[in-house]
Amino acid sequence: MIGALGGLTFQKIGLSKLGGTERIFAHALAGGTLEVLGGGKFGHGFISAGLSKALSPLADTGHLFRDGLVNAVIGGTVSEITGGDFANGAAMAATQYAFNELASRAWTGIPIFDDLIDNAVAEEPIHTTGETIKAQLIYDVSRPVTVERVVESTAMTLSLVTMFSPTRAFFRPARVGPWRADLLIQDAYSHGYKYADRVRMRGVQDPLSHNFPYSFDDIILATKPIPKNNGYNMFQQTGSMRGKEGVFEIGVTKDGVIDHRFFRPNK
Amino acid sequence: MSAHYLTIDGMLSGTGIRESVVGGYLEPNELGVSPTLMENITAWLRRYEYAHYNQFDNADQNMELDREGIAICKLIQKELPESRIEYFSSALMRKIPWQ
Repeated sequence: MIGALGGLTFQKIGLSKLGGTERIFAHALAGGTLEVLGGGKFGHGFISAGLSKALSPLADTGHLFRDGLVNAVIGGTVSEITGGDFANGAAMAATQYAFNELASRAWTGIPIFDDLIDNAVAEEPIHTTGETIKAQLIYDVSRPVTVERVVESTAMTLSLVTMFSPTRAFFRPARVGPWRADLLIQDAYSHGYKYADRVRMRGVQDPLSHNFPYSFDDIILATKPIPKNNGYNMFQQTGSMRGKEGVFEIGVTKDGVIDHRFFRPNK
Repeated sequence: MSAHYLTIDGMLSGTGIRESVVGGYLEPNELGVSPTLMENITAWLRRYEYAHYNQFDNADQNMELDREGIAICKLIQKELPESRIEYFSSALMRKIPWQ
């Protein structure tokens, strides 16, 4: 809840008409407040969010995912040197970036879908309690750069691909062991469909054709359904994966169950 | 023609021929199968597609589709003798040994 609130707060700041210094101050204020709501210290959140925002121009690499990664590294580092932990800072900074930059981008009509597809890591976030925390940022399947910090108590895999979907970027901080915030993505779909077992089985059997991030599904399902026999509906969204143009497909049964997820390359 | 490790699979929207090692689906004409066999595969996929829309609710029909699929395996094996061919039932979501 705090994560979603934070995201929305940063998003509002991003969409506001504030000037540079005012914007940094607004981020710092929001960061401090969110830190308190999450059980931390105002000062730490204030400095961490403000400094991260001030340094954020360094993250202008011209590439969506690299920018996100650099933001996360800046946030994590700032958090660490101001007395927090790297994972929490990286998570907060990445959330801040995802909402603030990408939501504004999407809402001002700049498509982000192609970027998502081209840079997709076919991996779902994994979150397991009782293990070692790892803040792992993956942004490009062809150049697997990861930032990984072993903390303790639980595992956190933060998929930037998942975060960057404006329709699915809801993060819930959770108290796990001694750590204040974890990134758990739950109840994040805006659609109400369930997934049939065969979807996962197909993904395991042939990842090349089936394993694209589930964060795409809201976008694919927002397309006009193509009715088939027996109340079955097919949803299709053009895009590209691993450099190949094609169509992302989702099939939904008459009972509202997704039983088909497939990337079909063009012939 | 180089050897392939292929899985015949009637998955919805697929080509009927899956590359078993690398993944993804191959067009029958990429493999150099005969036009008659390509037609057989297309017709079989069409029937499998309808069965999918009906949630594979007819066991007899599923069995018939898998029998046809195995017949396709045999024909492909004959045309591509170097290749290793397996059959996967999309209705049952499991491999069916046929050799």
